[in-house]
Amino acid sequence: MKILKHITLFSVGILCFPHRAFTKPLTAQEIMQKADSRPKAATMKALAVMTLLDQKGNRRDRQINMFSRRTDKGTDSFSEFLSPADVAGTRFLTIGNKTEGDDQRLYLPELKKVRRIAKSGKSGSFMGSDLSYYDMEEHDPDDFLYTLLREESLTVTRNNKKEPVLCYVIQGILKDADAPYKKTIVWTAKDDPLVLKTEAYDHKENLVKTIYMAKVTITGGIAVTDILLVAATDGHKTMLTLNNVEINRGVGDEIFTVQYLEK
Amino acid sequence: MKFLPYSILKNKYIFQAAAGIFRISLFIFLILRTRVSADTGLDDLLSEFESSKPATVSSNASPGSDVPRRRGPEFSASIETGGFLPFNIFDGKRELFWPGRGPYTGIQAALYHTGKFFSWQCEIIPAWQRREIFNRKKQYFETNTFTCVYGGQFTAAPGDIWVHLGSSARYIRAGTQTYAWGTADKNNPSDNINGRDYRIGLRNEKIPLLSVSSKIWIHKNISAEAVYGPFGASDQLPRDIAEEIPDEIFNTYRITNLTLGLNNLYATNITTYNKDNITKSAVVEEVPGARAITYRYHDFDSRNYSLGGRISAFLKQADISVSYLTEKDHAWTPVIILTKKPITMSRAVYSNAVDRAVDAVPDADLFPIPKSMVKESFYTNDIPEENAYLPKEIIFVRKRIHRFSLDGRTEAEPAGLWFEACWSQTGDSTCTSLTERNSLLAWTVGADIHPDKNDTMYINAEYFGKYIPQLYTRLHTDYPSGEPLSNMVTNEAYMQRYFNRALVDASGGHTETLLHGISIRFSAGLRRDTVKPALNVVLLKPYGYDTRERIRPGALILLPELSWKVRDGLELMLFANLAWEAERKAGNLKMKNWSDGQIGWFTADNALGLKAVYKIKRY
Repeated sequence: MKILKHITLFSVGILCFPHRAFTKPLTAQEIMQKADSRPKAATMKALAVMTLLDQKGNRRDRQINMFSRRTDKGTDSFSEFLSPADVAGTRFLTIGNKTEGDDQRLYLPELKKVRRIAKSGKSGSFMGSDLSYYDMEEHDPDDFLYTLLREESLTVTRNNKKEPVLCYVIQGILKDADAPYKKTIVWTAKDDPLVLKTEAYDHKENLVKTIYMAKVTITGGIAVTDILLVAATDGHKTMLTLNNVEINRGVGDEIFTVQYLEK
Repeated sequence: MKFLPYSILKNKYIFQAAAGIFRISLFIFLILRTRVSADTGLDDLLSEFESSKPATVSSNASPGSDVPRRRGPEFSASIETGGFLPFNIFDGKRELFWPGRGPYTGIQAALYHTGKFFSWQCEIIPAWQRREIFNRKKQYFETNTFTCVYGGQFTAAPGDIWVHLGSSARYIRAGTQTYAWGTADKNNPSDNINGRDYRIGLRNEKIPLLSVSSKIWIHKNISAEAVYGPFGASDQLPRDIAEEIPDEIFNTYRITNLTLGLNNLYATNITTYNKDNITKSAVVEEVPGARAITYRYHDFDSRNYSLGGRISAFLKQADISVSYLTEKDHAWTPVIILTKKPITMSRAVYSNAVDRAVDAVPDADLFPIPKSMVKESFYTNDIPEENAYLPKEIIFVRKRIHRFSLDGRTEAEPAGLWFEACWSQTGDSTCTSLTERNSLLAWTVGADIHPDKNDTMYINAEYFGKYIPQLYTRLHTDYPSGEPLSNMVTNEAYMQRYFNRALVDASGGHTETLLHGISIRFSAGLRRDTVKPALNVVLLKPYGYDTRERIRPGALILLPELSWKVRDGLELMLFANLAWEAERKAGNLKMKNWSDGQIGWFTADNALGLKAVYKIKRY
């Protein structure tokens, strides 16, 4: 399970529904392992709009072209900002690697340089949003110690139908002390191990952000969702809306390379 | 629509009622607003997005295409305006002065098209700017004096204008281009392809180079790149090297008073006499000569070509590049042509000297020859002539230089690390020639880190420097006061060596064997990076320079700035350029903005600045 991949821009595999219920009580670790082992989209393309909304209601929109693919090692992703003008041309590449950690690089058009992103910078805001570079990495369920807290109903919109969904509420303690979060609390659908909501806490156990699967749409067994992030400190919000999504229609290998960043 | 008559407002009851309705409406609005904020339900959160005014997002980009990029011609433009207020706290008198304002406005416009195999871009950078022009004279021979001139000028420079053919895996691109070689963040010793516009001070910019470039990815993580610039690159400097050559170099000499010693003057017979071993002592004054300084460089001469290549590997462990570049040195090298210039003397000066010398000889030594006859014989002879070897002409040329670079970048958790080094090889492979500038090694080693858990703080530190092996730094030791000995001006080899030592390295900014320093940048991204205060501190220390001339303890440069992204595309920046160098001369320590070493070339004044940039982009 990539515990934060439900907020990962490109890991749409988590949104796949196997459409089967659990037959016996599961431990928290097993629930999250099941969520991680669900079938995933091999490739994905989407035109996303990232909307930032501050507490005063000031809104800023970013248009992003996004690509992802799954490999044996993890999930690769590529995104390019198309607008607004001051960030247009910025490109971001992640080469997923579950065992050694993801390799992330950023191309900044003003510098005309590709930059590696060091670990210490991965808690930073991604292009002014409530997403961090760390959020966009894949993380293995074995990186967490899970505890089942309770069961709770959550109202979600699935296939344009608003409905209450009974969820496992699971706490995950990160084993890596250098991670930007100490723990996460996730709401995982009981009828289907889909993470619908996540709260991330810092090392002082203060809530940092809450992530919602805002609208879930299932097409051909694959779930696509809009993602909403709310910062606990100042109420700043980020909405990521996926448009024109193409699942499993193939993405060129050359996209997930440094050469494509520099093009 | 008919407006309400003003008389209604004059009716205090109606006015009060309207005011009351307004207050109630405001109260209800605040209540509702509070409710929305207090309720953190998903529906309410989503409704906030729906009710907010959508920002403009327009694109015909299609995510389903093989080319996930912009399609069709695009247009982008940025409007930049601002000004700087130069000042100088330490001007020698320790007075604060404000010489004037330097506003500038520029519009950068670009039209481009990106296709799968064919792309093009056209960028024009017109600007109205007031540039800092330094005019310095008598740099090497007398007390440094300089003046700063601030002049407005209109420029319409080409930006990146090129056509691109090929895919991302292999392409060829032709036109004016800007390159970014090297992985270091601030100081890039290997980034030499483009010239730079140093007229805008510390925050200089690259000048696009007319060139053809090609890049081939020989492996998904390894690229080979080649660049050919048929006419080479040139810097724009805020100083004229030729202007800084003192007039005195071209002076000639004139004898104003001559003393002859005729100790061996005696009659050998009734009509002849011996005049061997005549000694001379002259008082000489300098006579202004004609300056003859030229630049021998043609912008469109194919012999000035630049040719370089780079191989880069983007590996899991590190990014590494090696590169080679041959080009014309961006700095000028003087070719000093000496000529014999006669030390002139008027006949009156000579006659007086003869009269005094002959009169001093005892009459008995010349008997029976009358002294008047002896004098006459001297008069009828030619005036004895001597020559000094002085510059006839100084020609500034740009000699070919070869640059070998290596750079790399990696992570040592939690920091990012990089290094970059460049050996610039001149024609003087042994570093012994006086007519060539010495080769030099430049380097940068750096690291960056986000020290806090939230990564709002950012620290970037670099150690950088330049080392020039066997640089000549004894001008004021070998030559008192830095000037040639007057009794040696007739020695051609001596004078040629002197002028080469005084001018060749100094003209290229080689004034210390080792100049190194640290640069630390602190910045913070506040309010999701919309507000960014930053401070760049640079400390510089020279070693191995001519300490007999003056002591240079070091320099400090401070570059504080505060940027505010007001909205998408609009950014305001308040900044300052502050630089001082300490100097100890004749025992007195003083701080000054400007120096004639490498440190202070482009820091004639400190400055406060305000800049506003607005960017737009249309498909």
